[in-house]
Amino acid sequence: MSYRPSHAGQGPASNSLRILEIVARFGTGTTAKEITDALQMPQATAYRLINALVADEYLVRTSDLRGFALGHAISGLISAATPPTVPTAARNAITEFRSGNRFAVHLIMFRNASLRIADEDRDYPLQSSFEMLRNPHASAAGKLMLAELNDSVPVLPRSRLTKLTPNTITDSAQLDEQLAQIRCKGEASDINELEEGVASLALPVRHADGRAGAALCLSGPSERFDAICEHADAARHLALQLEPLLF
Amino acid sequence: MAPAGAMSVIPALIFPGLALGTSGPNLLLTFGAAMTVMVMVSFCLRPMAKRMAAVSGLYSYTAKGFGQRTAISTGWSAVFGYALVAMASLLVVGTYLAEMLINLGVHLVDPKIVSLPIVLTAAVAACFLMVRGIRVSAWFTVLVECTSIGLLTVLMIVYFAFHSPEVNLGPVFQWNGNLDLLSVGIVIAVSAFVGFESPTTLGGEAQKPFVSVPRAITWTAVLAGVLYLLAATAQDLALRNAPASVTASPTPLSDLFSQASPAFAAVLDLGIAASWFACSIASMNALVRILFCMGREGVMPRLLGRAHPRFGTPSMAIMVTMPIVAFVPLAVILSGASPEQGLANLFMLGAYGYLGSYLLASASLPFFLRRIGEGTYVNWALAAVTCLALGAVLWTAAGVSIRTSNMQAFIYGGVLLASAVYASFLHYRRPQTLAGVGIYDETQEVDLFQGRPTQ
Repeated sequence: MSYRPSHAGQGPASNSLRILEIVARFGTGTTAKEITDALQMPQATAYRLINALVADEYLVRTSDLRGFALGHAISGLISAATPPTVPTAARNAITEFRSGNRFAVHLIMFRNASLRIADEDRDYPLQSSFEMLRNPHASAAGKLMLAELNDSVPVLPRSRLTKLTPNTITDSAQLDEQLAQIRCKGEASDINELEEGVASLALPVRHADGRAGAALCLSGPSERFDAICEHADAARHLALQLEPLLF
Repeated sequence: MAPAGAMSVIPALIFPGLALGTSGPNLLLTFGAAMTVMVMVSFCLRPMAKRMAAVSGLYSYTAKGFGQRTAISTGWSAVFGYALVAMASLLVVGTYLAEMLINLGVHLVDPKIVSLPIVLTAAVAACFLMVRGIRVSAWFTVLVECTSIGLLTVLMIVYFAFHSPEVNLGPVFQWNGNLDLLSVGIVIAVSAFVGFESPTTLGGEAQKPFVSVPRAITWTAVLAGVLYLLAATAQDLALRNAPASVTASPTPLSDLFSQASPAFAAVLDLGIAASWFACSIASMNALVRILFCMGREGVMPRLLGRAHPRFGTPSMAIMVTMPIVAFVPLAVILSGASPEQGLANLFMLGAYGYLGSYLLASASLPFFLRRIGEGTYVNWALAAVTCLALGAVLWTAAGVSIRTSNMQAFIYGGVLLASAVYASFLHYRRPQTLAGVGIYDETQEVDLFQGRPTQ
């Protein structure tokens, strides 16, 4: 039963997390007693931490009040931690599309208002993937996500609008204007905004209810942006094809 | 709870020379003790509020801790308490509004003639506000309370600014050693705190009930206690220097001010009356909530569990209880009894109801925790100390009441006995109905982590 027993000097934060681990491992209906036994923690401490977790809805009590289950507040943490999975059928469709053109083709997913790289083009890997994930305002996929976000979700704070290249949009009014255009057109692009010399075009892959859940991203040298755009119709077709496969 | 009204009326009821005779207990000590007891009760309710989103508060907690039969007694006890405080509130509204007219210079042959229609109008108005929906009445209450507390504070400061040379803090802290009267005083002082537990009835509706409800219970008790301690000190000082005609009046605080300025006193009367009007609404709201819940569960007539088709309020329960609640203050006025004696009696009787339900709910804490497998020694000790304190106060007050051949203790005892008999009847004849008592907001599918990340 014993599972990573607690050692002296561990604070309430790590103990709270270990309580969550126990409930995740033992499943719905784990009792307070099972938790204290497994963690070898003083009862009063454990009950206090458990009730704090219940208050914040990381844990919920089962209907007889005796047992615990993981609460819905945990789902945000889970989705941030797990790598997105792409079904083989979707992967094959993308691979087939890649063989038909000479640009990089990436699949980027949107999770909790941040980007996750779901399927990267192995032949033309992303050069500045960290910058892309960190600065959604600078990339085509990121701008597509920001444009699709509900208006009630606060878009990036001003301090986050970092200037990566001379072309990066750092003025929030200008960014809002461009996001409005993206919403109209249903596609986003960036030229030399994320990285000097690189341009990309992003097309939405939508859930059944219409919200965008991922972006299909085509990128290549900026001087060949027109050539990238010639593939837009084919890419849009692929995006439609991916929708039932991904969501 | 009506902090503004309570801080102006209840200390005066305990003040020596009023309801309790010349050897009344020390005001500050009485309120200090009442506050300590109430904060202890809030500590007992907290752990339960953190674990269960109750729909009808103490009643639901007791059902989970002690079982359904005791819950019935707790529920009846609370209903009794709420009803008595609502009656007393209406009586205060009548008394103070009549006093306001006198202070404004209206000549009244008999204040009764005015109090009667005022009480009647107040009851009808409260009924209207409550049937229209809790939202209207909640905002109305907050507005009235804030205005009245502000008003009272200003008036107190002004009064002491004029009388500062005579102020002597010495007697305020003196202790005359009368334990019996102290516990009677505590019982009345507790009525000022009554309703601090009402956040527990909002468990099913609050946003984050396991955070907001426990916090609300404790802070309400502490903040109200501090407010009352200040008001009690101020009034003790003010009334000690006042002539006998003032301290013997049913509206001492306003008489005190009317010596200086009748207009001031009229404003004060209006503030106090408004605050108590809000209190009557709050008590009635809590009362009908329990009755509605009991009606739904089938342990009271199903009729009481019927909601208004348009406003969704427990209109049936309101319509049935309001006439009863309005009748008693009208009867007190008609009988010609002095209002302050009537008030002290109603508050005392109501306080028995509350203290009884607090006692049962606090005692159920360790059993509740043991049932869900989270019992600790600290909670046993906490519940034991709280129950001993509550029990001692109730016991002494009941003893005094019996010795002075006052019916209060017997009336409340009768209510308790009736509830126990009724619960036993349900237990043997309609066990399924009894099993449905104490519903709470159970975990729903949507509260659970679904085993997959949200997109």
